[in-house]
Amino acid sequence: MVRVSLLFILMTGMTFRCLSQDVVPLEDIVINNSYFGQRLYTVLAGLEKEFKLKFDFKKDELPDFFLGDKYYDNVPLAAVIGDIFNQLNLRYKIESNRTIIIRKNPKELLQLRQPTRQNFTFRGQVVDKETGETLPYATIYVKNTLLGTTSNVDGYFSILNMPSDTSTVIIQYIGYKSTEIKLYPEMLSEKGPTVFSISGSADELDEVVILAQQEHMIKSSGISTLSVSPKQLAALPSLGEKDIFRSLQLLPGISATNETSSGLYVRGGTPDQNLVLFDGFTVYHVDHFYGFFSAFNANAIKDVQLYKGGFEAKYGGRISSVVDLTGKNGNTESASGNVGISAISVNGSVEAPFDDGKGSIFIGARRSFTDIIRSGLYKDVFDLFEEDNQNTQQGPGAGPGGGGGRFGFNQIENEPDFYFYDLNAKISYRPSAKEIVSISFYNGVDKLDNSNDFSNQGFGGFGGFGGGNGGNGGNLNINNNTTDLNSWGNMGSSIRWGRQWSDKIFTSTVLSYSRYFTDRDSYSLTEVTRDDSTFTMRNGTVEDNNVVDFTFKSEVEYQLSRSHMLGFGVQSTDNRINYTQVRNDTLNILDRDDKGYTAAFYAQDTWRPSESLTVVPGIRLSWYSGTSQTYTEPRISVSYELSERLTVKGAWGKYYQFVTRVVREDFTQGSRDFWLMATDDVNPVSSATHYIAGFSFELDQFLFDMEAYHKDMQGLTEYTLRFSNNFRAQDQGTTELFYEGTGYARGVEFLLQKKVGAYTGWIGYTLSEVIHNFPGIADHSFYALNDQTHEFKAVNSLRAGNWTFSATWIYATGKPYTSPVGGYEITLLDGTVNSYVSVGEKNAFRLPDYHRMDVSVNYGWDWGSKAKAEVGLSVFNAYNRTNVWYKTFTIAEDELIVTDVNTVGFTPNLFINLMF
Amino acid sequence: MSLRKIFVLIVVVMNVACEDQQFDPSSSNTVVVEGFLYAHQPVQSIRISELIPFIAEEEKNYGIADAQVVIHWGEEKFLLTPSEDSIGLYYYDGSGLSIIEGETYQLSLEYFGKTTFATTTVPGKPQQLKISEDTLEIEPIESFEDLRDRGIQDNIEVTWSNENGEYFYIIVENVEEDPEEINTLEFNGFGRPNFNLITQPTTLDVHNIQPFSLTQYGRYRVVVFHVAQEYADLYETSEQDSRNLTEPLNNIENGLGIFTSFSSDTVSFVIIKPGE
Repeated sequence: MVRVSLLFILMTGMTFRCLSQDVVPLEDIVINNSYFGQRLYTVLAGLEKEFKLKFDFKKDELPDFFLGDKYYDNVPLAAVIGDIFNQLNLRYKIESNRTIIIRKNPKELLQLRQPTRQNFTFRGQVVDKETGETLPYATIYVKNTLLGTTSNVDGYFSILNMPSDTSTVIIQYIGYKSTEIKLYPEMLSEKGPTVFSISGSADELDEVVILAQQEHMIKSSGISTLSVSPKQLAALPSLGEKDIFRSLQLLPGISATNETSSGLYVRGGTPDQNLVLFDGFTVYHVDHFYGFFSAFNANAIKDVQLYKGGFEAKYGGRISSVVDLTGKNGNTESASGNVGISAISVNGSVEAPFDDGKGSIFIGARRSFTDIIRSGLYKDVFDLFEEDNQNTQQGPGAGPGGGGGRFGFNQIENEPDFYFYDLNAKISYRPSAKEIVSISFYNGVDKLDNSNDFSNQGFGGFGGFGGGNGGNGGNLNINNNTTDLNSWGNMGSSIRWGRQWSDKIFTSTVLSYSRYFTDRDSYSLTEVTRDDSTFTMRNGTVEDNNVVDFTFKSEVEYQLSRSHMLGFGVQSTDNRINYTQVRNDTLNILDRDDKGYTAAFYAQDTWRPSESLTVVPGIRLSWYSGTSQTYTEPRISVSYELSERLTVKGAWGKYYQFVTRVVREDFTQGSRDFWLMATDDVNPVSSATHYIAGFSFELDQFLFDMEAYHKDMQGLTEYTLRFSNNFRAQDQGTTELFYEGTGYARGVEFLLQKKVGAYTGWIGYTLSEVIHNFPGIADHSFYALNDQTHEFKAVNSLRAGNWTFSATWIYATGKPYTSPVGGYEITLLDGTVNSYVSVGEKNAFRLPDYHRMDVSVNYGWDWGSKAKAEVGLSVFNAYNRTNVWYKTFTIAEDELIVTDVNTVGFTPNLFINLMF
Repeated sequence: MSLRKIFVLIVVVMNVACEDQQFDPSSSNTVVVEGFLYAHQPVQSIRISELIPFIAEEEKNYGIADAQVVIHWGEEKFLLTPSEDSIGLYYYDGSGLSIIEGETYQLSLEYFGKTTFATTTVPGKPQQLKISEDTLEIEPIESFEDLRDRGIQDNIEVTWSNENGEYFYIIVENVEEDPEEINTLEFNGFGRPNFNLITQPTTLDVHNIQPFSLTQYGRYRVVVFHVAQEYADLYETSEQDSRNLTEPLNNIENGLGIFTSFSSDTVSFVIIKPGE
């Protein structure tokens, strides 16, 4: 041991001695030489050899050339270096380790600094380079390590145990190019998080290296979780408007065949079981224009997170899935805006900074001009609903497709007035680098007036329904005034305060209000005057549903250690929901006015016990006033990286829902639904247990993802008048019209995605079934209305210069429906013979298979130096497939009239957008 | 872990707690039963038919004549005989089957590959059946003056015990072979059937017979039937809403219709001319 130590000292001393003998200190180096006629590379090589130097430069910045008549006589090295490189406009830096770094960009010299901090907490914020928008849920990791994290909703992130302040980090965000950033000490702020600006365009920052092409549209970011890029969705074909929810429907596990609903049917769940959050407030209804568009203006949204199941304890109050939308804060760099027009609507937005970029404002609005100009698309959609309205006028003999003869009465042609609008506004302010306050407001309304006034004089009787009043002749005057007003919409607002208290603690507090309403007032006032007598009839339905939601929630993220990220928070929600259904003014079929309060607490831990294993256990406790019970929702998800490319994953969780949308069965005219609070008497608290397992296999260009799921559901409710033979005699708001059931959904989803490149897209396939069991409605289990055995989707997008071509194709097997199957008679004891129509097994029949292709082409170009323009043509249902939306059944004179209500056919749409 | 193992794992998860579902969309193959049992009466009113499809064959009789229709009474089974005169009608032509108050009977048949069955318990005989008058005089109506001068007479009141609000229905019928008409001004009595009134089921314990509603002289029989719950359910739900296609409640498993039973008691009264 002694010998070794002596030897070590001896060797060390020898080394120092050798250095001191052979190497001239940098400051002592002087050059006495003529470099006339020599090439630069030769000169540098000579200096390296003579003085043990090392030159670090990029050949593209410093090409080889003849130096000319350079002659130095006792000139210090630094002066010689300066003389050579300054004239070339190159910067240099002489390091103490005898390395001389030469760069064109001075910032790069800074990056090459020696580290000043090691094993420290690295804090940052990810923002868009052009607009300064914070980018939530971006992935940040340290190159060549497994250290990494995800930015929170305000773009903030922290990485504990950062190796050094000269490490290289990689930032990935959906719709943006994967970006590599070399850190240097001066870059990192001592006081607050360092802002990292990334860009979707090619003109990258100086210190940035673009690693890969951007991942378009969707990105798998965990089990059953997807990030979606609103920015990239414009490339997909659309029915008039770029639409986020319509695009989400193209993902496996989400039904894409509901043309008349933007709501998401996720893994056998219904839209009401899908929690939709917009800047923290809950949105209860996402349909515009009969559901053909979602209520959200895609231009107002910067981030979409979709959780198809197994979601974490942070989210509650729904049993199926979550869509978390983050609105744009507004441009903090400069004023900008957007205007656009399509076949249905005009839209525009402006955004601007204030207080030197500390604050920003965004205002976006959309309005249809369907009440002014009735475009082809408008007519297509409205005809669809008009057809529905006209079904009762079809005579016997009408077959599928709706034609057929008519009774002897006049048909009233009516042009309805319809429009929708929505408004998004958001003000964000950053009092300091550590915090952000934002106020978000949304209002969207649809209004339809389908009223008409019909008058006919002097015709001698008419054959109406039931065959009455026929052929009396004489002076007959009929006045019919039909009022049909239908409006629905959402209003929501939130105030949000996010603050990063320290390297480890971030809080987010939201106070929000949300209101959804739908009002239907449809009645017909008929006045029949014959000679001296007048007969007045009033028939109709009033159906109103209102949902009000006040919510306060506060969430804390605490980076306990490198392997534990704790999250916990509280939520308080006060709901008031009323629903009224009145027929013919007096028959109050249902009248509910319920209140409910929910208090919830959650805690979860993102635990990484090893580099390849991530476990997220969590629990949510909810107390609900409607039942005065506390509900416990344990949840856990696990992902394990078997290799760099292969990850297996699984999740399990319990979920409760206290506000549900109840299906109002109406198989003769199509079922509808309405919101209701869970109560002990009619509408139980819904619950579900999720079981999910799957794996993903990822290559540079492709992703293959497969997940299987099973979801047990309890406390489902259906409302039907079909089994209540004497609802007039029952108490108003009767409980006997509600039926409680259970069910399950199970399936397997496959996704093959081409992530990057000029051509991107995916193929998705889902095999699934949804089974319901309502003992009060059917003796045995039946397929749910949203059951769809097979669903296949292909999404394709090709970028070629300024052009983008897209095509989507959807194929799905038919959904179930209930149909009358025959008739029978029963003779009562008093001799009365009653005839009945028998309805078949619930949902035992299937609609025809659904398939549809949509195509689009977009062309974008620079409009002057500061604006960009985009024009596009999309064609919905390109090969004009006749898909059946639902069937209606009318019994007339013992004959069954079946009418197929079909969805929209071939529909082209042109749109223009200008961004400035 | 290999990919194969992962698939196996997923399939196992998929199949946890799942059951195979059986669905039969061809439910137009449905049996319709109209079966009525009367206490102490022979079984002769069981009608079996099939649901009439909407695209029905014009000439086809949808009565089912080839079913094995059985009535179970306790441990015994009684096979019913199809009527030769009326397709779909069955009766019992033996002597072992008696319909007795309080007893439970089950009807079953195999058809369309499934067993259709229903159960009824014969209700008890109406208790404390009384009638307020056993004889009533009514003036004949032979002219318009008689009609104008006709006075108001007290109702004949039929009462029975019904503390639980159960269902009863009443038949009032003239049992004379050739009854004499009260109102000969309008009717000469030729070819007119005997007076016969069947009431709707009621939960009351009284039925009033209004003398002016009676049309014939002679003896009248008043039969009060105690109705089983399944018939009351059917009766209460017998109107079908054309929008909701609400079907009446029925007690037939794997089928439609009604299988029910009644028991009865009888009182009588006589209508005579004044002075007879």
